[in-house]
Amino acid sequence: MVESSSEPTDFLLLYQELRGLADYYLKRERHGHTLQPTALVHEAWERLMGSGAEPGKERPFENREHFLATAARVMRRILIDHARARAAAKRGGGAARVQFEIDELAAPLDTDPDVYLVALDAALAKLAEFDAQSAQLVELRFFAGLTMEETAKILGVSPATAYREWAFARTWLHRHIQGGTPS
Amino acid sequence: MSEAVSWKRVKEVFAAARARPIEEREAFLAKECGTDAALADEVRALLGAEREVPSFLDTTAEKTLGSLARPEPDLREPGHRIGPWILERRVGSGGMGTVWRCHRHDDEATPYAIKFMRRGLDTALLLHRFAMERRTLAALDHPNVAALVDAGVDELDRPFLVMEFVEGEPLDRWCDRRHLGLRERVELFAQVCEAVDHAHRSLVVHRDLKPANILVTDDGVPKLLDFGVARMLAEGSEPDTGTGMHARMLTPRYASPEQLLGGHVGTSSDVYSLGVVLYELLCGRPPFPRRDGSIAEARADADAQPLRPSQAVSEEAAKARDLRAEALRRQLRGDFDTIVLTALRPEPSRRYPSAGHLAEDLQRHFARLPVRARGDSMVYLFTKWTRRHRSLVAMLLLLAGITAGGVVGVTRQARIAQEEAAFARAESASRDRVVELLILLFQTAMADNVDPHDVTVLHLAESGVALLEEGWGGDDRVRARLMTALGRVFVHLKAAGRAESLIQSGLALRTALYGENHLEAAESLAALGELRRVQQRLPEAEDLLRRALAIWQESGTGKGLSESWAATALGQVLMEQQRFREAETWLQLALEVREREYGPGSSPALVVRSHIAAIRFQERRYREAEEMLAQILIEQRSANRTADLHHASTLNNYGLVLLRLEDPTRLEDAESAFEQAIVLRDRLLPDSHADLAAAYNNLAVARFTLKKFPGAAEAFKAAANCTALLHGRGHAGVALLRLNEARSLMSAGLPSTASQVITGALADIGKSLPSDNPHVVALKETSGLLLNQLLQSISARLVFEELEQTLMDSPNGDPWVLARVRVGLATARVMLRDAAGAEAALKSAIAQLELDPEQEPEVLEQARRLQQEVERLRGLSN
Repeated sequence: MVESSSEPTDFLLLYQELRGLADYYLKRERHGHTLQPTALVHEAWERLMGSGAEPGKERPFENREHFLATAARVMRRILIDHARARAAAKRGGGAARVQFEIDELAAPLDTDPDVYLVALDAALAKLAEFDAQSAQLVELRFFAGLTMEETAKILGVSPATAYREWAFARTWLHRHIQGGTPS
Repeated sequence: MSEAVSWKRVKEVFAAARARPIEEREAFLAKECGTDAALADEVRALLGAEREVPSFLDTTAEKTLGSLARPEPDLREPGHRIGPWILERRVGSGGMGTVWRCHRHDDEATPYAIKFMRRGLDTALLLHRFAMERRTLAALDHPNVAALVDAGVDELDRPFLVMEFVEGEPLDRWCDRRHLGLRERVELFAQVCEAVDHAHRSLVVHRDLKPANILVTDDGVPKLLDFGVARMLAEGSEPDTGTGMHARMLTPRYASPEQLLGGHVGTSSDVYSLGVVLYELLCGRPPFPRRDGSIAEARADADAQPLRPSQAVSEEAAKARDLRAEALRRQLRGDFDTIVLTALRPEPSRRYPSAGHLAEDLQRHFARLPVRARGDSMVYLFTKWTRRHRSLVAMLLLLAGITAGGVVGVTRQARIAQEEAAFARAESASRDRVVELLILLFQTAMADNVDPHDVTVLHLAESGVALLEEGWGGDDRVRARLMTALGRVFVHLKAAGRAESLIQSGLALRTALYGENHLEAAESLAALGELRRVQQRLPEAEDLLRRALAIWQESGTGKGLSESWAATALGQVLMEQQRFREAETWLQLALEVREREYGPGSSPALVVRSHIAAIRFQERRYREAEEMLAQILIEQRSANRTADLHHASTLNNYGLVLLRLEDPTRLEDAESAFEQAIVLRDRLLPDSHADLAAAYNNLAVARFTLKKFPGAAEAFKAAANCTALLHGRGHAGVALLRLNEARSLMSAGLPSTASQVITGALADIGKSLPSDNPHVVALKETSGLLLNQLLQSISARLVFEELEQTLMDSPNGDPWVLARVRVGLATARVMLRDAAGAEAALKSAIAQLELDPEQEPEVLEQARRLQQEVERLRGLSN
């Protein structure tokens, strides 16, 4: 995860906005509300850029695409923190590992969503190193919950290409998470 | 492959290959990649991985994470459709949820029952489990068992199960309303037993048998409900803490003591429940009236002794059976009392070995045959009498030509005795004496132990030693043979001390009698070699076994049974030194002899084949090993040799192979294999036996891999208990197992139970291990983490501070562990608002963790967040 000090201001601004909204909804979860990134992102758009924005205040985003791309990164961070907290609670702090007396036992395939998402975040950072577009696609699609068509539009590619990229990226990520790191 | 160069290429080829049908992909890759094998491999691996991508990656993160709570209005009403099922009317609700009558949307005529489960269940696990068990449940097809046909989740994510709809009345009410007599009741009940037995043979345990789950239709056909349901719901929920799913699903009145007390629940638990049902059917009142309330009350009453059914008869109950009380009492006295009380024995191993045996005994009663449950006490009385006349009885038995089977065939251990006898008979020249001795041993052991069910091979062997000490056997030649034979039994039982003195005495006697190079001395040398193998003194073992084999070969009597036995042991010795090829040569020789002498599917031949399978296993040729072991299991089953230790070890090894196959769909099979191995080992071995502990550990690993954390915890606990009996509670192995138990409990979401386990383990270790022993360190670290999680920050700080000191003082303290400990310490200090203390711990931890951020990325991440937290604390105080 990128350190907050190095984040540009638009990220921080949106982070505060979304974080606040997310906390609000998470608190209300037990009353039947769920954390829905799509809804959050749209609500934040309304408040920062749309009719809900304070009059006279500077609009921090150039356009909707810029906003959504940033929002996807923010949502990724919020959701991963959430998953990490839950995964840590389940595992008791992150350092515990089961040791077996049977040698060479394969590690269990970890498909606990929380644990998986934390690993996904790290794999995604790796993917971004040499295929930034694929990584961003995953952010938009998976973390911000945009449709494939919206995602394609932001990336400036055709929906068919976006689908193809998505198929590759998710497979690569899964393989990376399961330890079969491509060399 | 260099990422930068061919990344694009991998993507292209992947997309192109993916667009083709699966069967054409390989050819396409060959053409497309040409000589670039790395590219082909990479794409192939990706194509393979695609099938395993978890489905939630295809949704969005919100779906994955945002499922904490949903409104739960009950929208169900008649006509409502869930998948293919259309609700008709609500027919009941119970501990597990509500039940509706329903039908398939395309078939109104066939009614089904749909059971909606309460919350608190792991939905994904339940569905997974149903998918895994579909085959087993399909095999449950039996006219007296209501089939489970579907499982799913409704629109509110609540799991449901669909089963055959049975219109009927609970067994007890059905009988009472028709004033059925004993015979009719018992005949109906015997059908129930047979259905249960059928399910048990498909490896499905019911766990909640009671009249309400045994409905009788208008035609008088009994139908068992909910088979397989309990198991499906139980695993993966909380362990048996008395508040969880197990407890909720348990009906104390019909539950076995092991269910009440949280022991291993198996087929014999169902036998017990059947015993309660039968008790009530016969005499009209429950055997344990005080178990009708809460689980806690039932638990307190778990070791109560029931009245005999004949003594529990009431006037009212007699009337419901169209009898006078005295007449009912008379009919129950004797066989029925014995049969019911045998099913209700508190110790699972002392009950009927199966529901089928229970049914059979009931039928034997009506056929006026002696019931088996009574047979035990007859043998008991007989042996009690023979106790004072041992040698006389031995001679009588021999003269009367009574075989081992004839006398001792009534109990379970008889099979072992027969097998040992068969082995001995074929392998030893003094066969008659050995058979005779075994009979005698059995009788003696039974007499000493009061109850024939408790006799084990160990008891047999011990009583053999006692007899030898009394001077039994007379002739030194005979005594030497018996010593060697008994010594081998102890080797087999891994009781090395006992074995050593017997084999050495035998060897000394024989060397004195015949000289060193005699065939009889060779047998003693080989027995000693086998002992050395068990003791892991492998070079000595090899030398002894080779000496014995050389004597046999020189004498020209090679390729005999004794040689096959020594060759097998030598094969094992070589195998344990990874000398697989040499090992296989000797094992093939042994196999050849045994197949010739005993037949290809015989137990001795199968033992050698198991060893060869073990070689494949160690060579990591798992598929071949699996095939060989599966074949052995089939042959053991078809020969009905499923109650011995060899079957147990075959099952255990089969389970290990399945674990190694790394095929997630085979993990359940592995679990089941270990469970079966444990049932046998538990019955045949002392609780302190290393093999029993190993099987429990393996079971735990399988369950952990399957994410059945509560079950894993239970199995680790059992493994720890066995190991503790063997080596003492302060042993490092015990500490490791309890640590694993605690970690399983943590994964199961039970931190406070986990914490208790850790505390117990640390107390047991006491001073027996140094404080910087890695196991002790791991226990303390986990303890600290748990305390943090439980927000017991003061205790957590104490634990981590001590541990930090220990690691700093220790010459072999692992710096990474120290870093983790410091992060744990910082967590506790942050909770206690000690910013300066937390910062100090974090500073050195982060310095270490940053040396290689990949080593402990999550801990590093946590450390950085704590740092922010520290700054926030600072900000607050300023």
